[in-house]
Amino acid sequence: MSTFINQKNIAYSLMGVDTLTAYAFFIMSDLELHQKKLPTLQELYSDPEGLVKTDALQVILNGQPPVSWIKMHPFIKGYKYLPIDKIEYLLKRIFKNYRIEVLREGSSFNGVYVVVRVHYLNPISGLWDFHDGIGAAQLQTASGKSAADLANINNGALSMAYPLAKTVAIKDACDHFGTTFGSDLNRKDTLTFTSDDKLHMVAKNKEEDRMQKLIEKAQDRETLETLKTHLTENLQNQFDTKWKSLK
Amino acid sequence: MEIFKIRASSAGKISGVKGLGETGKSYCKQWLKETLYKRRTEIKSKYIDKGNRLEEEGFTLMALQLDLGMVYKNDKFYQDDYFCGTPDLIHNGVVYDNKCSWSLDTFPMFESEIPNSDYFNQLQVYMHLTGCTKASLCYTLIDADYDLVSQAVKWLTEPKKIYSTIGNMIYTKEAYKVYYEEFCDGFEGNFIEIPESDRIKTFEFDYDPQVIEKLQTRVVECRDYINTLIK
Repeated sequence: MSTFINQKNIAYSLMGVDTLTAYAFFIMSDLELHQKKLPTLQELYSDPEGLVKTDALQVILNGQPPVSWIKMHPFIKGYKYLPIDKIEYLLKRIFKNYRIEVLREGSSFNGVYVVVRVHYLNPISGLWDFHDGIGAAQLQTASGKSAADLANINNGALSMAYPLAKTVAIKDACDHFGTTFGSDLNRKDTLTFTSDDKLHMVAKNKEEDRMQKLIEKAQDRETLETLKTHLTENLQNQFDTKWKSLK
Repeated sequence: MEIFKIRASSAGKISGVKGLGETGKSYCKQWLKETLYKRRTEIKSKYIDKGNRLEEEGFTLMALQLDLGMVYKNDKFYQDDYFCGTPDLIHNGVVYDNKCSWSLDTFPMFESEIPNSDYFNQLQVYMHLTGCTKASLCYTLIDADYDLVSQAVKWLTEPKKIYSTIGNMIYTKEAYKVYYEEFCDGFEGNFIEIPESDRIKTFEFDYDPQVIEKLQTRVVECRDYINTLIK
């Protein structure tokens, strides 16, 4: 609270307004703001129907990967990961179109690193977007030699390390998509991503669903007639078709 | 200070046979803390979460199976000098309260008496507040939504366990197909759909003025007890 006041004091002293008057004004305007019924976050969105799709995609991207896909790391105890073929499968399955760009690569201490950019076609907007990721791999040295002993690098160490670093980088980039890509595999106490129910409520009225089912269930015109007063524009066609089909 | 009124949903807490009892007193203490210091404990659980999320689906099942016609959730808050509360549905002079069961285990499909007597008191209060003389307590069994299912199976690794967990939360073939493909990974199970008509169980009540009189007396006792706490 004190920080809050101090920030306001500073702002108003800069503006040349008496601090106390300014603060009183600020408090009043805050109160006024709270007394007014503000629109919900969902009501502020200009295209709730479109955002429902985005929200649905987020739910898909933030689901749980199939348990059979999850592997345990052979050297790091208890470390779970998704193999690269599963990541590539998800990229193909969800985005259909994607491409990997190597932004840069280099050596660092006793290993190499690769920075990649995973470009993907956003299925909702139809636009290309990307996530960046970085991965590193240690250079393999002769058995019994220190990993820092670069004079004893094995044949083919580089050709093994770079692809491995690139793979790790792709997975790192894909972690940004969400938990379906394994981002939370080694995290506990995570929050489950939930779809924005209020957004759905704005976009698709559950009451309309109820009406739809009631129209569907109606077995005579008398029953259908009782529903007429609750009809919405969206349901008019369904209602008319049902009316014609009943005697 | 705000005068004590019992919420319909908490009426069961003060309806003990011999006076307020420990449950009633604890409720009063909690109410006083919340009222004095304007802090309210928000109780969260997966059971409450399901009830809130799938409330409208429950109303749809009620509308379809009880032949209610079109119904709308009641948003009106009712109160008098003793009680307060917001019933779920008021339709043709009947108060309906929807209890969304967490799973088939907790759904009272073959019960002849209400599993929780607190709900009897809750509905008596609703009838009193709304002027209705009949009430219906409706237990509904609704498919859990994606979020609830994925939360439930998140840390499960055994396919059989995943399958049985989903089977206990899903009752329609349509939803089962979706979740099976998503989580079960080819595990062969034998899913049996539960028809809509079996996924609703109702208990009907008539208005009983004696229950209300008793609860009114208890509200007065609560006020007296709260006064002793403030002194």
